[in-house]
Amino acid sequence: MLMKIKLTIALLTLFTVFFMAGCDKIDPPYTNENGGGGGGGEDEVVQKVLLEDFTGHTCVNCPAAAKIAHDLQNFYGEKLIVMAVHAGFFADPVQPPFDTDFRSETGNKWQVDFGIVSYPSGMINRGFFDGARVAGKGLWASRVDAAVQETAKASLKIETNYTEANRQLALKIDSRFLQNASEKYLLQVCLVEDSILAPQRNNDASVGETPTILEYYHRHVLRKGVNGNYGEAISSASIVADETYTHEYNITLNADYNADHCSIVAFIYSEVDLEIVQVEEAHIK
Amino acid sequence: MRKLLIFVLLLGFSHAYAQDFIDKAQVNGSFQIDGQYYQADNAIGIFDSTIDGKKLGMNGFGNITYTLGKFSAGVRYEAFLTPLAGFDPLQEGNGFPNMWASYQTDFIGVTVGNFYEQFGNGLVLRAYEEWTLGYDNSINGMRVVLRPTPGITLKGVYGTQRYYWQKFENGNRGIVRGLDAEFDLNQTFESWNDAPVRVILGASGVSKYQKDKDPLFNLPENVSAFAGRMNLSAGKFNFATEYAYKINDPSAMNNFIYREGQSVLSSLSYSQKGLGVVLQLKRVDNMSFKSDRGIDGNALDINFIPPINRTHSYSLAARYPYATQPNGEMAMQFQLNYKIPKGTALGGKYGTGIALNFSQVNDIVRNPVNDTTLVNTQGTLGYDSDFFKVSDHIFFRDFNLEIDKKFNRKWKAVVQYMNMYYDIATIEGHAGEEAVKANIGLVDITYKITNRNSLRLELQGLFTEQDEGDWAAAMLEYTIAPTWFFTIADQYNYGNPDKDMQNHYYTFSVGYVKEASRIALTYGRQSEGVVCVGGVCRQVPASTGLSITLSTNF
Repeated sequence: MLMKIKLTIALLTLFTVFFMAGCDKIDPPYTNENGGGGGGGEDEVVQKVLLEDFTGHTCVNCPAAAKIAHDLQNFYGEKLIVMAVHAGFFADPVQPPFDTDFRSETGNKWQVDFGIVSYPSGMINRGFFDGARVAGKGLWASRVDAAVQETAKASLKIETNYTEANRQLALKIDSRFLQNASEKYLLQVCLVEDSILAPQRNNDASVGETPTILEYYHRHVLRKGVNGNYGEAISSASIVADETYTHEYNITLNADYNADHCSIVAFIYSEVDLEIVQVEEAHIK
Repeated sequence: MRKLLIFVLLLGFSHAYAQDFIDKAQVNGSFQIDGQYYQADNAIGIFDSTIDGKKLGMNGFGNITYTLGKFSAGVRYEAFLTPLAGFDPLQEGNGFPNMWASYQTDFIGVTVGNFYEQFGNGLVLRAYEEWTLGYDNSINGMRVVLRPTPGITLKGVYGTQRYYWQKFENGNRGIVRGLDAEFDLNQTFESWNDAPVRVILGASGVSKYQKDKDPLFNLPENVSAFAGRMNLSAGKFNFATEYAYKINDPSAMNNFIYREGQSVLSSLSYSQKGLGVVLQLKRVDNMSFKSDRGIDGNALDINFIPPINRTHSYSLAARYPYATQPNGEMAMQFQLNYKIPKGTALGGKYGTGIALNFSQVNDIVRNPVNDTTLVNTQGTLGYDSDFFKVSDHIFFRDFNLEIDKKFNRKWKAVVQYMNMYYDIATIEGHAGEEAVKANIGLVDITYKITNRNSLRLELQGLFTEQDEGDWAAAMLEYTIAPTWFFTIADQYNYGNPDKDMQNHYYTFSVGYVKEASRIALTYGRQSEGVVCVGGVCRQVPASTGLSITLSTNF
């Protein structure tokens, strides 16, 4: 009996030591300072990544998610493009001060079609990671990091010509693939407005006032799909490498939008799996 | 591959011992199907667009267990096609999520495949399944249980946890390893066998490994948690306590802070015939422990923080259930059960039961780690917290008194009063909304018409100035034992501040029970709410339609 007890204690001690040795106690600094931005020579096509942040002004956890998106943008620089899609229950205009309507027809359609039910949620290049396209904010960083490592298949160039007097915006978007492709690809063009000051619910004191940040800057707000909710085909025929496919659009900027803060986000995605292969952003002015 | 291996093993086994395999074996099973046909009901905010074409939701499972002597094996089949409203869309799918085989002797028990396990109170490890929540964090791996000598139990587990239908591959979530030792000293030492004090000691260690793929943070890839527990019982008294500690575990749940976690749960109870008293205390500080640090929903929990609040079963009393706050809470509960003896003035012929319960949960106190860092800032230590200090911020408080009385062979009744405080902003995430202060009263009367036929009437009232205002509920149930029951019920939100939402939520149910099988049909409206089991909750959206529940076991 005593022998067995001694053996038990010895075994337990061994396992405890084994466990203690398996602990990773992290010392400061806790964050990585080296940015993942830059890269790519003059002629090299850089793979850019779109983070679609599904959000709403009464969603209490959304400011913390927007901060993660912002931190990631600081880290990756121009490689990461963020678009905040206000849609669903938490984006509904309700009693003041939450009576602003940030929703768009395109955002509403995407929210339903991609099955966004919990907030905040995001999609990174609309790709599947571990079998799921939609992810909570805690998974964004690792997914963005994986997406940034992908090799670019295509390049995008956006030219904007905005006339202040009549608020007319002319767009010329050039898409170019690096290899031939038989698969059908589509071009989606979106109008985004940045830094709109309006109230936002919040429960993270490290981000701002709780429970409401009255003067909150809503970043990268999707205003509309310029060419519909799902864009249009890049080409009716098979795609040929290095050929430039040009699409042109003319829109009138809504009088309520601040042209100084507006930009165009364009992305190319596959008709088969809806995954985005390239994205670009350009300010309209 | 796994299915094939098990099939081959079973086939070989059956070939070698074909006769025993059939004659001496025992097969058990349980099945359940929950289905609902959804209808648009504009009055309670359900439009065709809400249903979005998913008019029929079906959740079903089947468990089959085969036992032959010391060997047992089982499978679990599930089909969520499409999942009922309120269940995570990731539930959608069908297949055999769980398969297992086990061999048990007095000395050793070995399990391979999917299993459930709990160390102590679960503060560092609890794998379990809760059907009503759609929750299953079972471990897919191996478990060994050793009993080297009477009173000593050693457990070792390792594996990965279930995450809906997603297969574990390429490190897409963490690996869990755990050890637990329990010593029942009165059994281990012969001289203690008849001691007046019984002592059980336990210790656990759990570690998870998850690769750091985060570009922003320098994350720990191996995170360990430890717990020690003790149970002392002497005569009518029992004292149990467990303390758990976790090293830095930045995650989506704690806003990626690097503070260590702690939790302590203690319970002192006294019990004798007709009287039971329990006092429980709990402190939780940064103790969310998941096998994927990026997940912030109800999934992949390695540990479990037990709630110490009364679980209410009456519909309005259960309208505001408490959800455990793993990031921090200080809780206490006092429970007194007393049976006024029969033959006394108040006890009457059958005695009168009295249950008094009080529980309160507050936040912990959090102070900045330095002058320049806000509390809970990601990528920092987060905050400092005094172990014994309680915040003024109340999450939840529940005072309730219940009296049950049998008057004679025909009549019996339950009366309950409840006063509660419910911080809806914290518990349900309704930031900015005033905490709900509610008084709830109910009476439950049963009249036994004959030996087989009985009527039961429930009347409830919930009175509050906050949230959706006052509610009244009534339910009448007619039972023809042991097979049939018929129910008509209504919940009326007559005090809703929005006059358009002063709705009736009526239901009609019929049920049939035969042996171990049960079928129930319900038509009507379900109000929006929260359902919680063990402090883990899920939102239930409002719905209208016909639902069916069919269950059987053998």
